[in-house]
Amino acid sequence: MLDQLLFVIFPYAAALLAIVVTTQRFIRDGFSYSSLSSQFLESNELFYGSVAWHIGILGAIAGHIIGLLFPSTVLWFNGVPVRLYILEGTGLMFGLLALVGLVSLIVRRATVARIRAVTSVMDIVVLLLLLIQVGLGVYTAVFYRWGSSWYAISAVPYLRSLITFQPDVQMIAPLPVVVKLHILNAWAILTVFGFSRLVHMLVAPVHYLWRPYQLVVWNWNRKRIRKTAPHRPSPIASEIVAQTAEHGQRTTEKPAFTR
Amino acid sequence: MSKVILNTWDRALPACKAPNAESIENPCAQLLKQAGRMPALPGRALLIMIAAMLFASAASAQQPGAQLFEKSCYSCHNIGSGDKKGPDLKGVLTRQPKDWLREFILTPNAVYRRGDAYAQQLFKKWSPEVMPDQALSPDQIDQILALIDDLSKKNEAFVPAGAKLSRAIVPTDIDAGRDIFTGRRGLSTGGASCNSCHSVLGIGRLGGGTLGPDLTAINTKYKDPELIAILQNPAFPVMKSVFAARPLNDEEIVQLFAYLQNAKAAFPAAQATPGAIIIEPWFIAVGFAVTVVALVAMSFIWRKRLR
Repeated sequence: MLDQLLFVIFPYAAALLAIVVTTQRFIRDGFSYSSLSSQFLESNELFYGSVAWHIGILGAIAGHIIGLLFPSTVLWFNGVPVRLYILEGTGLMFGLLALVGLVSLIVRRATVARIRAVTSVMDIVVLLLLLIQVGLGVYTAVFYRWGSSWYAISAVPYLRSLITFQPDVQMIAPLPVVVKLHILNAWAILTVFGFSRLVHMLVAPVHYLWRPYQLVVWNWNRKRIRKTAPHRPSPIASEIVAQTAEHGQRTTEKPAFTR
Repeated sequence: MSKVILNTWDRALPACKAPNAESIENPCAQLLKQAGRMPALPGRALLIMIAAMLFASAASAQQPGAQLFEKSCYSCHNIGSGDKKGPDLKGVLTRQPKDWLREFILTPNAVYRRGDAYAQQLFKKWSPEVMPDQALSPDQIDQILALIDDLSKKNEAFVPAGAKLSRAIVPTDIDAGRDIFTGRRGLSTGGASCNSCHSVLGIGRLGGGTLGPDLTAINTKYKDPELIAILQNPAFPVMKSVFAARPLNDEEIVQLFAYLQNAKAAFPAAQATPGAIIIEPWFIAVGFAVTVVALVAMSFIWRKRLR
């Protein structure tokens, strides 16, 4: 009965809430669909936080989705121990990258006063839920090996049963509590999805991957200036010189100043 | 290993002890002749086991509840042959009232959560094993209880009638079983290979899975019919839900049995350690190393990025 509540009713309620809230928010307040940049081109801390986190979590989610879509192919792939070890090692790498990135982002958000000032309660909730989720995932990968294989015959039938509206918790009911918490926490993340900065994944600028890249040229080094003249006001956006280069080549034209 | 073989020999080799044991017609003699030509263990031990399997004369207890017991209970419980993952059920009707047993068999966890003293005691004693709820009808439960009562009164042990191999084992079955165990040869019903959750020493540098117990010393933990019955009907919580829809076929059972029975031969020191969580240091080391490499690679790829 408890399993039905936590693993059937909860995920459906979370999904419904996510769909309704994200749609309503997009219509009423579309510009809030953002992760609210906290200085994109900033420090090493943000670089190793944000980039490591995003590579890690995208890799880990991709692994879960591939397993969900092609369970028998994954089982076939894992049929040779070396291939299994490579897949599991890669999965653990993505999990650890996400963990390193997330911890780095949490430390930054907690210690940098400028970031703390723009932190909402929901940001803290999201960070905590994600930390729990990644922590449980890495724990599962290390202590309950080999998840890439047993996921295909336990959680995958459960997830598919939810998707096809024929919920069946039989396959996950006897799993260890850590694994069940991992699943439960996923539904908790889905619950807060629409209310949080997580919606930015719906409007992620995926086309950036194949558009000609932009060169952002700074005509002065803000870091050095910050160190030497701390009271100097920040430059306004129009002072930043942006130059778009076709096909990734830097052009020889002079930058077009916007001022 | 040798103890198990000798026990098996004594218990189930009437054909080899028969007066015509030397006769060419006696299949046991043929097998032992082959065994004599084998270089050493494990081949010889195996062929002796083959004979055991061929001629095991299970005194089948064909009570109405026997089949049910074998399918739903026998993975974890004996009647009169000692404790397994759960307690020996001999005389259980003298320990607890029938109504209590009916309820507990159906929903052990609910009885435990309600604070029932006897259930608390059982859960504590058999931890970390937790008996799963059973999808049995009241009639089926009564049949099982009648079987337990009957055997207990007669002072007989439960012998599984169906726990037999479909054919004799041959030495090549060990490698074939190993291939099934590791998943090199997929299961006929598309289930996950054994090493997804179980390990056996020697199957790969980083071993098998740890969701379930290590099976290297499985032959010291279960008697032959018990192991066969588990391969036929694994009624453990996780396996039950997974394999109910994807049972192993007869051939897979024979080959896996051959492999598992032989698994300890190369690792005599292996112990059956149920429920132990085993850390594989190399897996963690590799994971950390690759993560560091990825971070260094990131740093290199985006070295010109302003940060």
